[in-house]
Amino acid sequence: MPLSAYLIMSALLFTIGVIGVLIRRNPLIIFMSIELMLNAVNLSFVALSHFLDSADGQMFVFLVLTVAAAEVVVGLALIVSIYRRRHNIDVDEMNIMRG
Amino acid sequence: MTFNYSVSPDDWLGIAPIVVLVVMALVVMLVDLVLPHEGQRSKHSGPANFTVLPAVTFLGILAAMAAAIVLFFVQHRAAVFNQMVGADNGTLYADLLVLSAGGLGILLSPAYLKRLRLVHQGEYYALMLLAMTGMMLMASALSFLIVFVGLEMFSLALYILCSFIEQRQMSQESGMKYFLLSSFASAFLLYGIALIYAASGRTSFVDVQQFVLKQGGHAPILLLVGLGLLTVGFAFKVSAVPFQTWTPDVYQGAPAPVTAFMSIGTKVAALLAFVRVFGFVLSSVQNDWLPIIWTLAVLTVLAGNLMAISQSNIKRMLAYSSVAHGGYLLIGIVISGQAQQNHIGASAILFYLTCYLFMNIGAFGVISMLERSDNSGYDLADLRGLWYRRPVLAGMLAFFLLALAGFPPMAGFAGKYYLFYSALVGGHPELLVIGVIASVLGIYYYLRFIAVMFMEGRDTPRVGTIPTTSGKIPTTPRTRVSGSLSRPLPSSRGGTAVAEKPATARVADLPVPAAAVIENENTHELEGWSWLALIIAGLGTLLVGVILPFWLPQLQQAAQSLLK
Repeated sequence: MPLSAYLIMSALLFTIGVIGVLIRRNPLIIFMSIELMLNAVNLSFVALSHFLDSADGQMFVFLVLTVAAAEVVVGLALIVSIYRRRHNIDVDEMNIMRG
Repeated sequence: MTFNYSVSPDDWLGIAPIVVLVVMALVVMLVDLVLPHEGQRSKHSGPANFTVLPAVTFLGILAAMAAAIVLFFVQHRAAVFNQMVGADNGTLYADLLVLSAGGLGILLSPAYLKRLRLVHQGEYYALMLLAMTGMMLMASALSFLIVFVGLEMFSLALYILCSFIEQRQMSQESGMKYFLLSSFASAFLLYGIALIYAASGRTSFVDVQQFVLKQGGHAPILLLVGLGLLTVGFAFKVSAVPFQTWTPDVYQGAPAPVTAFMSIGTKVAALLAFVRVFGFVLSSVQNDWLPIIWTLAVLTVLAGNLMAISQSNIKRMLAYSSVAHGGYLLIGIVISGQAQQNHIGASAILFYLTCYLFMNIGAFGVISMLERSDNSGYDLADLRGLWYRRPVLAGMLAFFLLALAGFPPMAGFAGKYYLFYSALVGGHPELLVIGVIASVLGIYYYLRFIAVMFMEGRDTPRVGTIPTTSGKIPTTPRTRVSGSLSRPLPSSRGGTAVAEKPATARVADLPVPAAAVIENENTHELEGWSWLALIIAGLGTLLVGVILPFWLPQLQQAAQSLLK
């Protein structure tokens, strides 16, 4: 397969992730969509690293995976702590502060 | 694909301030383990926790500062770790800025944590140190890889710090909003980096710059798209309009010392990366990006100031004012793209950040001393007649607000003066005009808060108003505070004793003078730390502007080293 196939696939996945973040109201799903975006980028990095014959892309993938795992930890902990307090995690109802 | 990995002790020496901070973060967590905790020995988390941990943390910051200063004079390498991390004077200067912001934030913390009864202090201080590490790493990045790692490192720590007050819904909400929006923006930044990598085949700044130079003034389309996505990520971090929506909510909900620290720290980190990417890596294709950043700067300056006008909550007002100040800083980015004058733009950014650091931390520091556990106490209504209740605090807040507005003897004026001067020299007089108009707009909302503190509420003793936001909270947290005190409440300085009864629901309904609520929290012994921070911030605000002329050559030299 040519490089462009990977890049187009990655762009599609990224777009799906963006749409997911924008239209879904459940933080868990939003969070999954963000993970999808990160993994779409990973796909580009791996493909580019192979076709450009450079290791930079693979280093990036390792770090992105690590960061994504750390984000899962923090994000899920936040969601759980909010759920414990209000038994509802809809992002539209997180509107105590405004003005 | 071949790997050539070699690291010498010299490399580690070059990032000594960062190493010191990481080590200290671990030490703080270990010290926290051996200290007595709530429920173990004493009912109230022992006084040791409230003084030992911040003292250790603060010592760590001083050590890192010393390391940065020593490197300033003896460093001989501009970049370490295979040209991935900078150790030049500009970087060290940014390190010192982040460390000062963190140090002042930590000085403000003990009294605040005690008043809000936050017991997980080891985590708090360790996360502060780790956030600073991430900021310094991003500020020193010479490779997109390090930009990303640094960015995520401080963001992750800040998500937790923002939502640190578990019992306060606003704090949780602030952390959640920051988390979702910020990781969304980081994904854009990352995709931008991937596209730049796709276009150039490299991720380190020097290599990408070489690639861009070969393009002869016109970037390929892939690079341009990557650049756009990268700009989204950076603009989010400096809260440029239209990516500013998270700022007021996060700043309002987060603990005040954290807000004080993050409002500066994230700006230092993001702007240093910004100036390196645009002023150095992409300076040869500036015709492609200049209009975008120009528009962002103008929009941010105008919209930030306009939106701040309608705020009745000083934390939100300061959040919008920080959006506006971010806009002034973006003017510096525009200038740093000009081929001849780029070091003037970069040095204006460094100087403005220095000025902004002291005034903004000072203002948030005063708020951290006024804030009550239900996140009220700093509304326009609460500040009415503050001068007659707590004259020193009111005076300091007025001083910092005047400095932020840009009145002459203070740092705010000097920072704006040099920034607008750089706009003039850099060939963008229109930015000077827009900046001055926006600053004049800005004076209105700063003065409004000052007027309320000094001119109103002289005769009427202030009655504890229920904050507008607490309507949705089932119990007013003030009830809980007085209820959870197991010993008799000391009578307030103002002579208004609060009845100590188990049925505190009634007490909360009674009008309680604001001063009484603050006094009840019994934090006198720790307020010395906060006062120290305020005095340092005040002196900084006064001095930074005065010494600018003597300091300019070093500053411009440091800025030049950023762009090499």
